[in-house]
Amino acid sequence: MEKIITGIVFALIAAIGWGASAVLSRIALEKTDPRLATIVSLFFSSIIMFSISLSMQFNELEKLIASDFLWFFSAGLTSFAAGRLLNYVGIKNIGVAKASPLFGTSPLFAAFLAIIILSEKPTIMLGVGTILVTFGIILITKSK
Amino acid sequence: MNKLNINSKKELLGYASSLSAAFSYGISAILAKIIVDQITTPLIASSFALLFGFLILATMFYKQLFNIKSIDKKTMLFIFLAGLASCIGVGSQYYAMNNAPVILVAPITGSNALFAILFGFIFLRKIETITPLTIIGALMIIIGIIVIVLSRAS
Repeated sequence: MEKIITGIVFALIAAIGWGASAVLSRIALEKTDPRLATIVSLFFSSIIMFSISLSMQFNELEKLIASDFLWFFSAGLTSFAAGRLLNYVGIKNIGVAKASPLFGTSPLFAAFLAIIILSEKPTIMLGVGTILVTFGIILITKSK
Repeated sequence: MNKLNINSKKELLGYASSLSAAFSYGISAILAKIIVDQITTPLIASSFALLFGFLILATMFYKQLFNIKSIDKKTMLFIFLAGLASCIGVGSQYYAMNNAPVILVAPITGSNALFAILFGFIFLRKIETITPLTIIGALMIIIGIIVIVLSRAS
């Protein structure tokens, strides 16, 4: 139970971090191309994360094998190269207030993918949630 | 197209990009779960994923790098802070995935929209208008996500 609560707390921190990031990037994107902003942002992020991970978990690097990098590449491609760039393009074109909720639908995709990839069981309530999310998306696209 | 009140290609691009980003992050949430379960720690995974993300985009859009001097210091600071905040988000997501199931973690991290709207309301009043319909739509998305979580967690 304690482990799950820790997970929830970190998930909440992640949500706040991304919320702040969306607003900060919105300000930066007023004067910058999303592609360049994403590249620079990822450059800074890489330095920060490597500094932390090398200082705290340097010995973990020795355990990595070549095939692990394919997983990292896949995560980098989906989460950062595609995910962050598309998110920035969305923020620049429709603003934080509309782009962020749409980006917030990612758990729905994750849930469907978990059913397909991780063999998690689908439920009727998943369908209800999907309908709510769909209507939410429609309302956002209708707002002026 | 008119029914969805999409007035321009710019808006259409924005909506399509945001939903595509969501799909992409959905895939990454699954990958994150597999990586931290079977391969390495969240910190190491985040670091290499970020590096690969940077290398992929820098290779694809290398011509953009010639314009880097056009970014003023203030904008650069905001990009840095956005990257830092996102780093905190990513690192925390990996730790969350390492401690709790994806059906609990993914919806909470997905609620970042509420924080974005809140921060936007406070800091972006001059450049963005937040309408009631947007807030209702955002809340419906969040509620929909919570419904999914509760049903799948029980």
